Amino acid sequence: MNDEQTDGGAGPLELRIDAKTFVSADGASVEIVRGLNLRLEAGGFGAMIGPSGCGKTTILHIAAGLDADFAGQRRVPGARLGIVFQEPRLLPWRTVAENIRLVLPAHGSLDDLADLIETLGLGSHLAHYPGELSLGLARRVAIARAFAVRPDFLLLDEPFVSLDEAVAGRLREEVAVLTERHRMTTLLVTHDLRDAVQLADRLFFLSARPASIVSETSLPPPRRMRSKQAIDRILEDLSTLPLGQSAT
Amino acid sequence: MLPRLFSLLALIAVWAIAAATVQSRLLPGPFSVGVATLSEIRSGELPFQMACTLARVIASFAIAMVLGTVAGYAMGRSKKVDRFADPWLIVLINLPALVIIIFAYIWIGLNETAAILAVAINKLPNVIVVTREGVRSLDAGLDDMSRAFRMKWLTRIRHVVLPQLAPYLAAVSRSSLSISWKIVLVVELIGRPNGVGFVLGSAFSLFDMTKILSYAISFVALMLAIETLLVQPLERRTNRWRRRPA
Repeated sequence: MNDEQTDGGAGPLELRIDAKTFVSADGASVEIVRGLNLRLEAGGFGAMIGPSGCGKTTILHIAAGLDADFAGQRRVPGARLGIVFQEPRLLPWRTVAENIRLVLPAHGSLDDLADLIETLGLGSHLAHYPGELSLGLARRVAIARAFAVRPDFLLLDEPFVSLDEAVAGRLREEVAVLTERHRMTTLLVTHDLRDAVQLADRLFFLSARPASIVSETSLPPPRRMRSKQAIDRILEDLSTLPLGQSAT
Repeated sequence: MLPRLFSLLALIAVWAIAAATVQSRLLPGPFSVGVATLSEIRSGELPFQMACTLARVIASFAIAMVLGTVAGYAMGRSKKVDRFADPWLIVLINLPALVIIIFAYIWIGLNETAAILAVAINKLPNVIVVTREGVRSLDAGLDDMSRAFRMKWLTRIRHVVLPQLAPYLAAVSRSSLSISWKIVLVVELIGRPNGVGFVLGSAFSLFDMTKILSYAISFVALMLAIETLLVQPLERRTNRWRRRPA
C-alpha cells in the first residue's frame, strides 16, 4: 500500500500521502488527508500549521512510522527518531531519569546527557515520578527524552500547547538551542503561527479536512532566537500572502 | 491490628464454649487441637505433609500464571487469536474442577504430573480472562511511544506492559493462590499418597476431627502468612509510584 524508505545518512524528509481514511465508530469512512506532498531538506526545520482537528497529528503519526495504513510514500532522514507527543506520554511508574534512560540505545548513560538535562532544567527532578511534575515539567522531560536519542529526525506535536506564555516562551528558546546543537531534520506541528515563525525555516500551511498543503513559504535564516521584532515583521509579511483559511 | 486480634480471639472463645457445652469427640476444643498440632509438628508429620501440598500449590500456580499470562496477552493483543481461542476458553472455564481432575488421572496416570497439571488447568482460564482484560486496557499512547523510540521487546514488556498489567496480575494471583490450594487438597484426596488432602481423607474415614481441624487450621495459617509476608509487600512495592502525592 505504501513504500517506506530510510536513508542511512541524512537525507531529506519526503512524505507523500495520497489518501488516509479512518473508519469512524458508526462505520462511515472519514477522509483525513488527501494529496499531501511534503518535502523538507536535511537539517531543515519545518512547521506544519493548520486549524485544530485538520489531521495534523495523523500526519505526524504517519511521518513517525506509527501508522502504516495510508496510500503514499514515506522517506525519513536517518534511522533515529525523536518524538514529542502532544501529551507527554511518560511512564508514570518510572522516575524521570528512568524515563529518559529507557529510550537510550544499549550502553547509553544519563551521564552523557548532563548538558541536555541542564539546558532543560531537569537536574533536580531526576528522581521524581511523572505524577509529581507540573505539565510544563513533564513536557520538558518528554523533550529531553526526544533529544536524548540524538535524533536524525525530530517530530514535535504541539509541544507548547496549554502552557502559560512565560513557560512556553522559555521552552521555545530551549528547543531552538537544542535543535541547533546537533544537525537534525525537525518537523513541528502547531496551530500557532508564532511558534512556527520563531522556530522554523520552512512553513507548510494545511487546509481543513481532508488536509493537504495549501501553501508553503521559506523563512530566511538565521532561525534561532529570532527577535520579537523580526517575528512580528515576518508575521506581517505572511499576512499579505494568500494563505487561504489556514493562517491563524 | 488490635481489632483483628480481638475478633480472632472472640472466634476461638466461641469455639471453646461450644466445645465445652457439647462435650463430643466430634467437636474438640481449641486446647486439644493445639496440643495435637504441636505433637504433629514435633513428629515431623505435619511439616512433611504441608510441604508436599505447598510444593504442588507452587508448581501448579506457576504453570497456570505463566501459561495464562502468555495466552491472555496473545488474546488481548490480537483479535484473530481471540476469536479462535475464545470458544476453547469458554469450554475450559465451564469444565467442573472434578472432571478435569478425573481426566488427568485417567489419561496421565495417578502421578505427580497429573495432579499438578489438573490444578494448573483448573486455574488457567481465570488467569487468561483477567490478563486479557488487562491487555485490552493497555495505553495505546504509551505503545506508540515505545514503538517510536524503538524500545527493545524486553524493555517494552518490562517497563511499559508489565507495570500496567501489575494490578490485574496481583488480583489474579491472589485468587489463584487461594483457589488452587483448595483444589490441590481435592487432587490429593483422590489420588495422592501424601499431602494435607490425603491426611484429611484418611482422618475423615476415622472421624478424627482433632486431626482434621489441626491440619486445616495449620494450612490456613500458612497461606495467611504467605499472603501477608509475600504477596502484600510485593504489591506495595509495585505500587509505590502511586503513593506519592501528585
